Amino acid sequence: MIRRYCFLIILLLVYFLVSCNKDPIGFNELERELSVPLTQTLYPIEQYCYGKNVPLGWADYLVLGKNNEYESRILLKFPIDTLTLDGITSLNLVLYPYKYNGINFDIYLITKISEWQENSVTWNRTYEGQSWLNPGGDYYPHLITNVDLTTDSCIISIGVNPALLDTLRNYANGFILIPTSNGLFATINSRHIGKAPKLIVEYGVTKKTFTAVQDAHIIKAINLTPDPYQDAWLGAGYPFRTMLKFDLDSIPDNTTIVFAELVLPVQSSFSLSDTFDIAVWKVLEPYFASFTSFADNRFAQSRFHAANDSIIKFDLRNIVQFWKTKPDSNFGILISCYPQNHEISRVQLRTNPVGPYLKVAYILPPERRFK
Amino acid sequence: MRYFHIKNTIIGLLILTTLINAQSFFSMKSFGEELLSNNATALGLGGLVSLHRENPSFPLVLNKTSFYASVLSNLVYGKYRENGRLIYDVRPMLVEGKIPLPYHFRIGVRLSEIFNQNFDVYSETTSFAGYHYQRHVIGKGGMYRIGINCSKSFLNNKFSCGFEYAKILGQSLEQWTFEVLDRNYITLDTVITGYSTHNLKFGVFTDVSFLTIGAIFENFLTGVINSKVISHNTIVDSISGLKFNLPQGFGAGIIFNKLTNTKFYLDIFYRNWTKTLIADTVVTKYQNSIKYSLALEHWFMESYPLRIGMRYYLSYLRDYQNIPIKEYALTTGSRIPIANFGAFDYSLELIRRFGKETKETIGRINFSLAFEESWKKRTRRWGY
Repeated sequence: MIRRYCFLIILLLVYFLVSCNKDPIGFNELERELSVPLTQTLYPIEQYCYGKNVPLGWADYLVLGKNNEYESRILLKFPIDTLTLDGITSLNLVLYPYKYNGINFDIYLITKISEWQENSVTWNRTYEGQSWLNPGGDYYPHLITNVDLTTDSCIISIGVNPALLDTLRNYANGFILIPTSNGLFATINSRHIGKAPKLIVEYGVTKKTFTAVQDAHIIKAINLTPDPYQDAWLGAGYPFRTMLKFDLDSIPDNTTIVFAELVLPVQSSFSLSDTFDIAVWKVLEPYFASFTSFADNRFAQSRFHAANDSIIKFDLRNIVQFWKTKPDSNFGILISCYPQNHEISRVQLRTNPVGPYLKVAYILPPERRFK
Repeated sequence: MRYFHIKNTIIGLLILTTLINAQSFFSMKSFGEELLSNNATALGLGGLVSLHRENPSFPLVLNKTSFYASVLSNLVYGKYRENGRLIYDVRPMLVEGKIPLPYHFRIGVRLSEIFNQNFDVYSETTSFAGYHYQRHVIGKGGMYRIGINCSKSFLNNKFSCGFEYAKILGQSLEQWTFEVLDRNYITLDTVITGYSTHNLKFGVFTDVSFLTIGAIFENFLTGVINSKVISHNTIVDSISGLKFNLPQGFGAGIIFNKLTNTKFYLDIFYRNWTKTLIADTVVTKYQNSIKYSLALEHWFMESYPLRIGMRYYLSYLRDYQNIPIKEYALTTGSRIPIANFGAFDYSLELIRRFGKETKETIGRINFSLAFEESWKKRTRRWGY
């Protein structure tokens, strides 16, 4: 048995010795002319940037906080239609913050007529086609409580005022959490098993626990309005998207693209986390401002380190090759942070004097064995 | 224990063969490496052509149904300036069967490789625009002959002549990889080439006193080459029906068998490559190829020969500096009889092949399995 393994090990070693050697023996005997790789640097012929409110209900974390550029609120709904109000001794809202930062916030009840839906609610609308009466959420002005979020498991006492309980069960659509302290943001678990927001109702020694059936955060961008044709911003939470289109006519037909690197120089960035991802999507139709449709699946993705990175690079070989083969499909690319409902992040790309560019290298295909 | 070694050797060879497949650092050129002999017996005797199974009239006497299969195992160490690289290859080379018929006729079928186009080469690492890149080209394939032959012995088995018609088919697949080393970007282009032509071969074999003489002549009919280049799943270049004419070949050999248990062989094969036509144009870069083999075979016992030979071969190819590619080889071989079956032939070759700067040292092991069946009923009826 030992001899058998020794034998196989020796064979594998021989294989590695043989296969790892990449010395250029015999290459010049090929008898065929080989093209030298040629490079071109291409700059966008079309560029368009816009910001857009998108539903954030499917995010893993709920963002709460505000500064001079963003405000993020949290909406929570619990299945308490059948809640028995008599005999309630305490009512507690339980949150599991991921980052808490000592943020201070108010809790209000959302009005009954504002029937919001987790998968489509945004700062401006309750669901598809239906707006809030007041952007940012319709809620009763009566403050339920004010909270300082200082621990990673926060139990918030709601109180057992009969009028409050009656409103909560019969005339409200859940809670809205509104930040009051400026410059701070917290993230609260939404999807992690056992760490979703809960409402605990106690009847003396017995208690009932309700897990949030819907939760979402809604974000407003304040004074963040990029110039559509001059700026190039990327963002998540409140997503900023930049579309770029490059003219590939200067690259000869029938070439093999060996290198196509999109380079995005970074001017400034803001993020709640140290790193986040930036992705590229293929644009599917001619430019139509913010209504331009793009592919569901991202084409390339790159990790951005906010503290260190001054440029972002993407490998776009395949898509450039595809565009060379089918020039009619070249509608450009869309770049944004990914996922778009992730914590708030934003990258402002430098556009002057050198903005985004595409560095392409190509070779001619090999010649046939016989001409 | 012996079974264990054989089994593991086979496994090992398969692993190596699957992962590394290359024959020669010159076989990416033109039609590739020309293979004149395909069996262990002939290769053990310096690479006989006219005096062995390549000759359709061989053997002079055939009174047994005969099947023959060969496998070649090839270890090549290539050297170019200060660089060296080892490549390895195992592949079947020949399957053949011959059946005796009445009136000293016999027919046979034969499948063999005539040109090999396996190679595996890397370019030097070069830089562009601040990035380093390397090309890697792997070729697999070759040209194969599928032939049927017929021969007949005359003059009380003192003379035989034979004729073979063969369809020549071939295909090669080349994968051209361009790798940007700094980014680990890899791009792949593919070149596919197909060949089709016909071959006619005529041979004679005769026994004159203590000499046995063999000669062959072969000619190729006009064939076609189809080729396409595929980049990024698109055919970017193609040609079909490109006419080509491979050149005629002539061979002759003498066996001196006056001594008991010892034979001397001299075998020459020539092909006039300077007459090669591609697209009705003479290919000027080729030179006429010639091969000389000189060998000795001594039978220590009735069934155990020792074969020793040497070979000089001037290839039809020239290297990139227009220097003729030559080959010197020392060969040896023997045979192990297998009772009630036939024999197992093997040969070893040590070959030195070189142009000006690229040099190859090749170690080859060839195996052939021969099956020979006596047909007693037929022997009674036909007298042989």
